[in-house]
Order: sequence, then structure tokens, then C-alpha cells
Amino acid sequence: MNINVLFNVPHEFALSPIISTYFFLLGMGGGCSMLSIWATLTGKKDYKPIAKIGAVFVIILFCCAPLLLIIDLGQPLRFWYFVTLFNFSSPLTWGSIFLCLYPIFASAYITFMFMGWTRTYKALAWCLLPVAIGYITYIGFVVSMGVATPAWNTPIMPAYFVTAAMSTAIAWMTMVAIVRYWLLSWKWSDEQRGLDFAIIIKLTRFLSLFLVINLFFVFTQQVHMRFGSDWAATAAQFLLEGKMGMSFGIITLLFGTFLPLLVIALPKINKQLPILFVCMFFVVIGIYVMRFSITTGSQFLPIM
Amino acid sequence: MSNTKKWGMVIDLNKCVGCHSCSVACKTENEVPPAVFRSWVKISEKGNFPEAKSSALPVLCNNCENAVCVRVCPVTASYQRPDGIVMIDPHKCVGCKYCMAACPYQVRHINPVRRYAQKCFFCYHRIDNGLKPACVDTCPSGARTFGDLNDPASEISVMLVNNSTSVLKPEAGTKPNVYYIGLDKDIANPLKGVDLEHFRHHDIELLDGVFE
Repeated sequence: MNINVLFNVPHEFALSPIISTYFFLLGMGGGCSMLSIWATLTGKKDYKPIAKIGAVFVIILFCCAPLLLIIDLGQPLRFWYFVTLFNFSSPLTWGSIFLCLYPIFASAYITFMFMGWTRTYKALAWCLLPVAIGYITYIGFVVSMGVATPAWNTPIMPAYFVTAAMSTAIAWMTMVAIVRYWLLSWKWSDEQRGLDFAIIIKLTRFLSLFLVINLFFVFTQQVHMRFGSDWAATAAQFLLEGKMGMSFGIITLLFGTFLPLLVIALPKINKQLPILFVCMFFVVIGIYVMRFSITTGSQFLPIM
Repeated sequence: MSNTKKWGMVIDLNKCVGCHSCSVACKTENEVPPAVFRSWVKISEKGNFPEAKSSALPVLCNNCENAVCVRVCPVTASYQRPDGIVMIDPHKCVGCKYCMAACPYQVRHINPVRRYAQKCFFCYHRIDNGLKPACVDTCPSGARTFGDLNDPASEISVMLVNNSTSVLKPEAGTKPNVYYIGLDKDIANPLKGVDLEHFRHHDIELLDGVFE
């Protein structure tokens, strides 16, 4: 039966591109701290540069991300209500708790790390770990509790957002490690150069694991939605084949996931730093596009 | 019979002529700014010429019993009165739009002037004074019936007993308090009747609004 909508009211997007960018930066910052904590807790000296690079990006990204959240508020000057009025059934309340605890633990951890107080910052790494997990997980719950759009309202969203955050952080830190290698390796000894190169390669292997998990989540989400309601099936098609096909399908999946996985898997090119650098860049861009496609892009589908 | 009132509305779509007077009355009564609506009428056309039929679907906040917007509001600005009306405290709302993301009916908006969330409150200021909501009072065809769902003798309860009614998106599990008589499921389906090509052509326009 042919149906035409002759009149309806347009609506403002609830989650704007500013929020997608906030999710991306917050995920990357949280992922960097997770990597830094991992490098600290494994206790291997080789990973110390990673821990320090991660710590520096934790500071930079934490300074940028919450500002975007405040800018997007209708009443930006009321942002402090988030820490005075609580509703524990809202993931945003849990998010504000993590957003408050995170800088306290992270700044203490980073300060003691750069002061070289090993035992103190290791203890602080244990304290920061659950806070950092909450910090990168809450955004997934925020999206998954948005009933308005079927692309958000899936149970895998928190786990998917965590692995996406980890992928971005690893890719970003690999890019920084490669730049560091290019700029400083000429004055290092052969042994130091070899160690740094090995760390870069290990990071890319680590990344491949998260990329495979990401692919599994995309597959699960697609299957779950396509065999769900008509609305969910349309949303799934919209993400992969429709309007978001170019961004989510091509940029995120093809260039941001399959291509880097292929490069990491091929022995002839998986140690070529320029190629790895380009692939890591694609991963970072791909995850940003994923955040945009799922959070903001999904709202292109009519809700009412 | 419960002592507490529980307000609800029945909209008889067989009577609705799609004149939009409810939208105008709502805007006037609640000083709703231009470009946003608390209550509107979606007009669709079903069938092929010469048997095409025009249908009107009035949309407003369902003041759901199981209101997702209340659950997700981080600053408790959204709350539910004992009579079931979902309210927003303008002094608490930070305008985070999370209630908009959670609402499956897209009936909330950010007031473009005051920058906090707003929606239909069943004209609570009128019903607290014994009047009916503005949209109900103004409907020329008498398509809207408002009343206490807990009172079995009320007009709305009698209508619910005597007619087959449905709600929008029952699968969302929100238990809406706005019921429709003669609701065509194709007309209620947001994806039917929308040319996705049309959405493609209007993407840039939509994004302009997003960045504003």
C-alpha cells in the first residue's frame, strides 16, 4: 500500500556532532589511560615510554572533552548541577561521578609517574583502573539507553564503545610512537632503537585484537537488528548500505578496520613504519566516523 | 476505585479532520516559540489514486506511566506527578537533551529561547483549575476526550471500555496514557510513507540545523 507523509514536524537532533566528538575524545583519553595503566602494572621497563606518552594524552584529552559536553548544553552555566543533583537510574549521573573522580586519580597518578615514585604511582594505577573503566564505559550505556533510535538501543553498545575507545587509543599512541621513533631514533643506540621498534610492532598486534573484536560487535549488532523489528532492520540497513553506508561501511569498516587488519597480517609490509602510520591514521578516523554514524547519523531515520 | 487521579486522553481518529487547531491552541496557551511544537498533527495519504485516503495523526507527549525520560534525566528535572503527568522543572533542567534521545515519541524539544527541555504537560495549569487541556477544548470535531482513567464512570474510561484502542509504539514498553481509536498501524509506523531518498536530499539542510 502506497503511503506518503504530507506534513510532519522536523525535530532537532538530540545527540549532535559535538556529542559524537565528545564521545570520541573521551574514549581516546580513557583508552590512553587504560594503556598507560596496563604498561605500568605489567611492570616491564620497555613499556615505560608508552605509559608516559599515554599519561600526557590523558591530560590533553581530558582538558578538551568535557568542554564539548558543556558547550552542547542548553544551559551551559548550569553544568555543575550534574554534581549536585543525582539520579542513579541515569547513566549521565554515573558519568558525572566518573568525570569527577577521573581527573583526581589521573592527575595524582601522572604526577607521581613523572616524579619517579614507582610504588606510589603503581598503587594509584590500581585505583585509577576501575575509574578509567567506568569513564570509557558510561558513554556506551548513555547511547544504549536511548530508546528513540534502534541503532542505539542495543545491549552490545557499551562493550562496542569500550573496544572502539581502546582501538583509537592504541592507534593514536602507535602514531605518536612512530613519530617519536622518526624524530629521536638517530641519537639512540641500536639496542634502544630495536626495543622501540619492537614496542611499535607489539602495539599494532595488540590493536589487531581490538579491531577483530570491533568487527565481531558490528556483525552481532547487524544480525541482532536485521532479525529484529522492521524499524531495527531499516536502521541496520541505513548504517551499512544506506545513508551511513559511505561513512560507516566504507570509512569505518573498510578503511578503518579491514585495511589495517590486512596490513598487520601481511608479513611483507607489517613492519614498514610509513604504511603502519597511515593505517593507524585510518583507524583513528574510522572510529571517529563510527561515533558520528551511530550517535548522530542514526537520527536521520524518522522517529515519529 | 482509586482516590488518585490518573489523567489520560483518547483521540478518535475517525473524527479528526486534521485541521491543526489543536497545534495552534497549544502554541497559544503555552507560548510555544516558532519552529517547535508540543502537539502537532502528522498528515499522511494512504492508497493510490483514485482511492487515496488522507489520514491525520495527532501527536503529543503520552505522559507515559513508565516514562523513560524521567528515568534518564541526570538532574531529576523530569519528574512524574502523582496523577501521572510527566513534568520538567525549568529551574533544574540543564538542556542536555538526553530525555530527547530517550523518548521514543520525539515529543520533547529544547525551547529555542529559554534553552531548556519542554513538552506537553496536558495543560496541567488548566486541569488543576478544573478546565480541560487547550487542545481538547478547541477540537472542533470533538475528537479528543480527556479525563481520569482511574474513574470507571468518567467519559474516557467508558470510551476505553466501548472502543478498540491502541497506543503508539507499544513495543517501547512505556505504557502511554494517550490512546487512539482507529489508529492505522501503517500510518503510525514512522518509516512508512517516508521516502528515504527525500531524507538524503535534505541531509545538508538537517545538518545545518544541528550545527546551529
